[in-house]
Amino acid sequence: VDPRRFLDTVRMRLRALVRRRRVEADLEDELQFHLEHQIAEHVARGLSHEQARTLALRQLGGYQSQLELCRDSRGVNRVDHLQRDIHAAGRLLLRNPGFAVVALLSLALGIGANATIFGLVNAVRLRPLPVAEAGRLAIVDIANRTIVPDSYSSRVAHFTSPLLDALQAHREPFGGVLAWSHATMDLSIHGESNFVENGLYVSGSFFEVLGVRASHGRTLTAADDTARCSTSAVVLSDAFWRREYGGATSVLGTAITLNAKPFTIVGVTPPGFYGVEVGRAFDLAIPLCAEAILNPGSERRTNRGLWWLGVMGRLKPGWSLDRASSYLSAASPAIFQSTLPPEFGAEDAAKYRGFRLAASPGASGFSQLRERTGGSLLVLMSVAGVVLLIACANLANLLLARMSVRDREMAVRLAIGASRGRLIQQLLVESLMLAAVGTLAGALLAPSLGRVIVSLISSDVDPMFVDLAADWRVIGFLAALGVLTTLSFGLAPALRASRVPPGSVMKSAGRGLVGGGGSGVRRLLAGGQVGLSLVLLVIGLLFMRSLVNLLTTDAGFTPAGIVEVDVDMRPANLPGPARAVMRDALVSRLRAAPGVAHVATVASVPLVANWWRSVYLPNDGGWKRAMGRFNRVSPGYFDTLGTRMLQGRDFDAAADVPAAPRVAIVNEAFVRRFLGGVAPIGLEFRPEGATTGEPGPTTVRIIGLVADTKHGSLREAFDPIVYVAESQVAEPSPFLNIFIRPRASGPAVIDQVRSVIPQLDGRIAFHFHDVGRIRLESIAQDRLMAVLCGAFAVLGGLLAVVGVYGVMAYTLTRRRAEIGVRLALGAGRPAILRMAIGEAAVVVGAGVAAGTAAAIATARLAESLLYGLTPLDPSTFAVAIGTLSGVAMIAAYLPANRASRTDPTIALRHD
Amino acid sequence: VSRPADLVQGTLDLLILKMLALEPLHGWAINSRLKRISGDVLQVSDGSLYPALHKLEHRGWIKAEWKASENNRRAKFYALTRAGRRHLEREAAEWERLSGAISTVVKLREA
Repeated sequence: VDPRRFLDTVRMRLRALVRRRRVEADLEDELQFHLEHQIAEHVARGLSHEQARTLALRQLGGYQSQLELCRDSRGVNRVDHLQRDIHAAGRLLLRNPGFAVVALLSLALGIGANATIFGLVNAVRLRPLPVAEAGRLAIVDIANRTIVPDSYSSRVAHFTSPLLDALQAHREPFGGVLAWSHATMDLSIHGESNFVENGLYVSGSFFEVLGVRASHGRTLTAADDTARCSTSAVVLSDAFWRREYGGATSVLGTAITLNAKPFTIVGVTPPGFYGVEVGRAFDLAIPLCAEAILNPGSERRTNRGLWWLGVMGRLKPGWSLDRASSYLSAASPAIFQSTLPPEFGAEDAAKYRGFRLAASPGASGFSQLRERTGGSLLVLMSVAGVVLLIACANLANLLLARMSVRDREMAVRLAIGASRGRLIQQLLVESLMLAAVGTLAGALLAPSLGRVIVSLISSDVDPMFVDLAADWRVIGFLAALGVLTTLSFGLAPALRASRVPPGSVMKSAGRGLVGGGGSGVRRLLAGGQVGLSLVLLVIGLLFMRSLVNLLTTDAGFTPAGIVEVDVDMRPANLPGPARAVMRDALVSRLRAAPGVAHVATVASVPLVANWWRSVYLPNDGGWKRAMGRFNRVSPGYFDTLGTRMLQGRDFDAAADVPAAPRVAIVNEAFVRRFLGGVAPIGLEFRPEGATTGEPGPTTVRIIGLVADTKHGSLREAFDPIVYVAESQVAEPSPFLNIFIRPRASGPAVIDQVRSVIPQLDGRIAFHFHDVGRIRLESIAQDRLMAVLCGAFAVLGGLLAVVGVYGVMAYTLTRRRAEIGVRLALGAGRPAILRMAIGEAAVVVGAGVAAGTAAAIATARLAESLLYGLTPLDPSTFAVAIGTLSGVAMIAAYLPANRASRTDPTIALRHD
Repeated sequence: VSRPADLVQGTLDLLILKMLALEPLHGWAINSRLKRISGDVLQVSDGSLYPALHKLEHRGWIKAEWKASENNRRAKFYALTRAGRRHLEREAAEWERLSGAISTVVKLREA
């Protein structure tokens, strides 16, 4: 290509665009010049001026069309037409505000729903961590983990400290390896606790490996994470710094107490850095070594059986994930052999030695949220997609209806020479305008909807952080959605309109006996809407009924009303036996308080904690392993819960003392599962000993049987549970969970606890939980699904009903003349009504049939999320089908009834 | 008035370019000169001349300039560009080849 020529072309095009008026004037001048000469020539041959002018114009083939031909050959027209189409579309929308509002509202809601859910999916699954070159980060974890009898004490418990040390000797693939864990840390020195929910323990390499620099002060380094742990340094997150310190740089170098231990604030991380766990934003970070300072006597730094760390490495250049994984796999036997927990029996040791490390993509960080919400997000994504489909079908229907009014306009334009391409373009531009405005509105709606959703699954105890800021993925998704939407609701009406043969329209306009073309497509669309909204209705009802099941499920106890007090005696520095005295004093003082009905301690809090432990039952001279939940409670625990004692007796503080023979209470599930239904009282078992897989030396006698209770979560079946007596522990742990059942009418229990505990020892730390609320928060995700899917179902149903009503009203209006003739020839009103209703029934029936099939396929997605009913629950389907058909038929009845009341004389005269 | 023969497809561009190769002209002059030179045999219909000119200008084979005409009126004069001249040469050679071939065929003696 000749560059000069190219430049000329560009210049001309630009000129044509920018100086359009000038170009137009030039063109007219040129043609005028031609006409003058031509007219002069004709006049010279003896024609009158008028005749000469007419002839000259005719020779030119018409002045306007000559202008148009010249514009066409300059390629100016394409842009020009687009501008004019946009203007025309805008005018059309403004002239029809009712249509515009309905169209834009349904689009905005449909697109807003999709953008919201996609924003969540993006934030939780797609978006990389806000650190340099996140793509080079790899999570190191055991690829073939099976359950070994260990203690997991963190959301992300992939590693023990000894295992991390062993990995350090085999870190060839990585430029650096970081480790982290999380904990709540107490900001108050004593008395009622003030927890930081998202404290982090981080290795000295943490910030260096991530490539995060402090925005103020410094980050933590290897010098902070040493065996002596002498620096006691704390780094704050930007959000915590602003929230708690108002963003004052003067806090650098000042002291902060965590669990009553002094630390020094050394720096603040940049805004936007939330840590490495998606779904949480960290508040402050201290070195890993400081875990021993915060929790004196903790064995996490040395014990081979305490899993509490997440580990991530930055791959060296040249190392891929696969290569790193095969390297780690080869190094695994040595790593696991050297870190084998000594208490493991042969079976567990063999499992442990078989573990293999692997590297997985770490770009989007660690997330428990991701695994927990994966299924829900998939369902929500599908449901939102269906809502948008219904909105598109509705719009296509509206546009088709409007098209048939515009048939004449289109026919006239085709007849006077507009090309079909131009007509399609014009109609698509109209659709595109709608879609663009709808997309914009949806995009504006999405972040606030997203925040509402996050707040629904977030709680004070477990605050969620989801970064919903738009990025290129969200914007790209929205753009694609806008274009697809335009095509799906705009193309059919546009193609139809441009195919209309002008002649027939001109002839038949307003006079045909039978309704115009396109009503087949419109019925199809209305039926499709009915079908799709049935899918939504089924999903919404399934989740609502699942939520109701969870709310009404029998947990075996009454959580509502129970006040939990978590006590930490460590600040009081009491020796073991003194802690037992303090424990008993606390319980008896609280029991005596006026508002209290029952008080008890519990080691493993229901719906929150998990404590599994094997016990061994005598079996043919040997021992039979019985893996169940384990718990340690004080006398009165079952009264506090409201759980029935079925046989035997409760623990007794006076009789069941440390020196007395060990006693236990089991639940019905234990008897069913392990004792074959035999009465358990008087039977004996042995809890697991120091070596896993073998019974210990202690024999425990079963003295009571209680009713089943849910422990892990409301969704679980009843697990076997063994309760042992807290009163038989001589040196209890400094942590105590106390359950209080208040009297129905009495002073507030919380205030009494606040005065009782400091009276005993002012140094004791404590804080409160509401067990009833814990139960509700444990089903927050179910609540979210019920609310969202319910709302989507209502939205989809409304759109579908509007669709059915619109189609019926439209076709019956078009058939007024026909109906008039029928009535005039003697058909009764009921016959007309029957005919119209019958046609609607075909549409609704076909939609419901197709929708049922689609709902059966979609509902399976929800299978794992439902509680207490199957995805194909027949009564749910029946209710959904009945409701939707009923409402749709009512929507069809209104226009049908109106049509049957048509006055034949008016209907026939009308045309 | 006898109708001039329709121009063979594609020859309009060639004729316009050739006229302009001689000297810059405005649209009216192109047509009247063409008529005069061809002894009234060739005449471009007015309706197709101007679109053709704009197309050629758009392609960069000719360029336009506003100048005073013979009777001192502002007129749009077209002139050949370098690219236009090259294009004209190619088109003219092609025409020679084609018309030579056609006349050879037409002149064949009938047995």
